[in-house]
Amino acid sequence: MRVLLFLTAFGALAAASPATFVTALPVAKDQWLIRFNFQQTLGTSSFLSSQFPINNAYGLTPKLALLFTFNQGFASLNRDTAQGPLNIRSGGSGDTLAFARYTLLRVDKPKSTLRVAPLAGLFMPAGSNSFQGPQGLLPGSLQTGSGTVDPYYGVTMGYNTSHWGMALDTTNRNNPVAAQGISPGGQFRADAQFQLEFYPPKGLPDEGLPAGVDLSFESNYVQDGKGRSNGVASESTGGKLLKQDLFLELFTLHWQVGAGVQVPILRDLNGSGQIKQRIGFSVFFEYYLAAPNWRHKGGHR
Amino acid sequence: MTRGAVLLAIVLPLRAMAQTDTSVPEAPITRAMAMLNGVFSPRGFFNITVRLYQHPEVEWAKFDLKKSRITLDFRPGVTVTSEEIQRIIIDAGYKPGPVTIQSLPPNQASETGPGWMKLKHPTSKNPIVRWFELNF
Repeated sequence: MRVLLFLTAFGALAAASPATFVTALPVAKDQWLIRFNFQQTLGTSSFLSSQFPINNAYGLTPKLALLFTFNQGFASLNRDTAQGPLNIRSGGSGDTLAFARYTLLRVDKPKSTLRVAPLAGLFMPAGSNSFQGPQGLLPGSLQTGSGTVDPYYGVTMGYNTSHWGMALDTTNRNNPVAAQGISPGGQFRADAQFQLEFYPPKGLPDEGLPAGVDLSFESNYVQDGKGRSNGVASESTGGKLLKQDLFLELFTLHWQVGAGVQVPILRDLNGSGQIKQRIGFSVFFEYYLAAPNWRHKGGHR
Repeated sequence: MTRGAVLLAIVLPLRAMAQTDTSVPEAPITRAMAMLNGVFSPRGFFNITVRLYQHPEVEWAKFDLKKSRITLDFRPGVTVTSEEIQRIIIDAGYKPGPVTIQSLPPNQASETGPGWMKLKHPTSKNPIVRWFELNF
């Protein structure tokens, strides 16, 4: 569940945009972008997670953007007990992510554009790291937060042409140890996206702005450090995971919609008994809005 | 009969003159055509559109994705400079290319066709209603 929140926290940049990370999401000054997501993940032990993150991006200046991600969701899994399988579940708000991104390098050419932007922010503990079940603390995969304020930083880039585009990012989340509850280890993450536009089928018309369809190939590498439970080191936590994703996206002047599948292709989890993700499905809809009028009082300049 | 014909002969030319006198030549329309660097998607054009919403004199905009070009038609009689157009593009986060300014008779202004859209300029005095008018 926590991993899913991280996915959403990244979320989008580029012509159309990556579905599984948002660090590269292009947003202009006075533009507010809002993206609604539905993400479902299935795993071992009948793990089922449904998350509904909402990404917000706002252009404060042409170079400085503020991004916020709020999350709600629920998850469940089966645990073997002496009395037989026990279904345990949790739900509620996840940690809230807020970060600022500053475009440090911008190279705009008639046929291509390049952006490089560092980013920094915080995960705020809106979720819980102390959900309890009949047998005590629920496992980390059912906790919705880290219980601490977590620094978050990284760098993102995007390169686009009229037919294809790509985006990359690498980020780090430092999770301080919480005194109580489940305390996840820090998380390093690297994402890559390549998109190819295939509609309109004969290429773009000489004039006009047609809606477009593209395929987005994305990869997510996530490396979680070992966590703690009530301050005690937990060996069977953390590990490495590489996922490959395929999304179909439809984009227009005012909105974009996408749907896709995520498949883990490599995993190296610490210890034993950890939940293994098997497959994930994701749908998103994003809409572009102009800023409220108070931002316009100074005129168009 | 003769008197009626005379009256008609006087009234008709006067009426025609009156019509001629009241007709005012329509003001020309300024068209600005700007090449853009770095805009390859509808999303990129929207970023610029956001800025255009704030320029009350722009009436119509046309987006040509393949040519990475934007064309703006202003209200009749309004003039605009290349620098103003370039500022809009820069504020949207893109690098402007060459800007061409033309003055067209109103009947040559293109308001329909691929890529043309009429820009929304909210009219309500209530800021919340204005925001909804702008975006939905």
